[in-house]
Amino acid sequence: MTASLSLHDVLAARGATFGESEGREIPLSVAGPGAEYAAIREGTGITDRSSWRIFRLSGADVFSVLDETVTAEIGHLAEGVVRPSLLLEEDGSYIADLWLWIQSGAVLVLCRPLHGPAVARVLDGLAGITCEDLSDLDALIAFEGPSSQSLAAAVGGAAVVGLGFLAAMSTQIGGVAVGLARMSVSGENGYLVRCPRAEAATVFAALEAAGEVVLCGEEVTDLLSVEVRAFRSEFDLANGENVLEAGLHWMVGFAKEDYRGRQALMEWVAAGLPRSMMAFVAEGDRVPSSGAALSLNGDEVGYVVRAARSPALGRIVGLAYVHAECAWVGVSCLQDDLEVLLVSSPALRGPQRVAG
Amino acid sequence: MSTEEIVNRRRDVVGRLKRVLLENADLELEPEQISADGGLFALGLGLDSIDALQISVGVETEFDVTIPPGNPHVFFSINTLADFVLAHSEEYAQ
Repeated sequence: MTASLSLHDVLAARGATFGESEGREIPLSVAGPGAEYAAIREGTGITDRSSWRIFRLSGADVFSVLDETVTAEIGHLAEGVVRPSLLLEEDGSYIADLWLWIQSGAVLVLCRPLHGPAVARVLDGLAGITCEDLSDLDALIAFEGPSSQSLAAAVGGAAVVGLGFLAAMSTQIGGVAVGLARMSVSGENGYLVRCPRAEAATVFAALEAAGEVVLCGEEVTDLLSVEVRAFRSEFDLANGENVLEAGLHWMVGFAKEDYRGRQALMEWVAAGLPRSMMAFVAEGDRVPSSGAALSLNGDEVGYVVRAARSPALGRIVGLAYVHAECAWVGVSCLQDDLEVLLVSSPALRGPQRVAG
Repeated sequence: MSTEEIVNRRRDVVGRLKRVLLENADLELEPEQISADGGLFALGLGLDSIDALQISVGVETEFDVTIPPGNPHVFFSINTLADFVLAHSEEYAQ
């Protein structure tokens, strides 16, 4: 049986289309791709992320045990901090990318539904730690876009304005006690609201009443994530690549002495990476498909991971794995007859944007 | 400019920028543990505004360039800093 979204009825009434991932309902599209893209890049888009899994970890040693489990350094993190991290197998292979949210002396572990079963397996096995699955009790509602801070201030008051990026606080929205984390998956400023499922419609109504917002689905995230090089494991690690080749060094606490997958990561770094993910731009009408080969002087030097036409840039943007000797910004390759220029990531950036 | 020249220039600047970064920020990292495209702040290495100031001074000194205020995107990553250096440093003028 599929677990419904917390805003299912609202979304259905707005004509949303739905999908499913690991037994959890996902909003695919609501207002349409053009309107949703414009909202998140130019205004504020709201997305029901209640399909994400939420695990609450507690126990006397929760921070030290989790620090030995995930790649990010979390042993020193204070209350109200949010951190992205990776969860790896001992051999360094990828299990999931997580958001860790420190709240009330416990750690909330958030992940996309795709990774929920694998994450649950690992977390349930942590010795001395209590793992509660809150996925069917809590709702997650994201609002992202350059106007999101104004919306947050309108519903949460002055205290919310000072909330730093990757920080969280308790507040009220529409009279409902919520957790509010400043985080984003689109590269724009953004927030994630956590509230009881039964109160999600009330929270959404308060957000909608406080500003001009557009209800969005998850399909638009594919385009948004290419533009800002936000990690999407189903694309970026689809062909046996590892997390360092994908450029996720920043999620790894290299100074930590022990955690799952550390030895493999250190060995990969020491050996040198044979290929690296690079952002590229191209002009023209043809968007290269996933897996399409890149060549340089007649030699194959890599392959396209994903690409799209960027409305904001008015050109093709994409991500590709490129052999190490050619994986440098400024190198120009060919994808058939299409010239592909490797550029600094993210291809779309500006002072408001925050994704790494 | 040939591909080899492009690669050599970028490799040189990125290497020097990583050294500047490690000299001016409190990071327990080796150069090869830093992705040239990885974010330096926020979603990235988590550097703060004090680090940014020190890195800015370090980059300006290393490459004899002036980074004008109000350009936070220059500091997004090692590669965006390299873009700036390659565009503004006389040392790398073509």
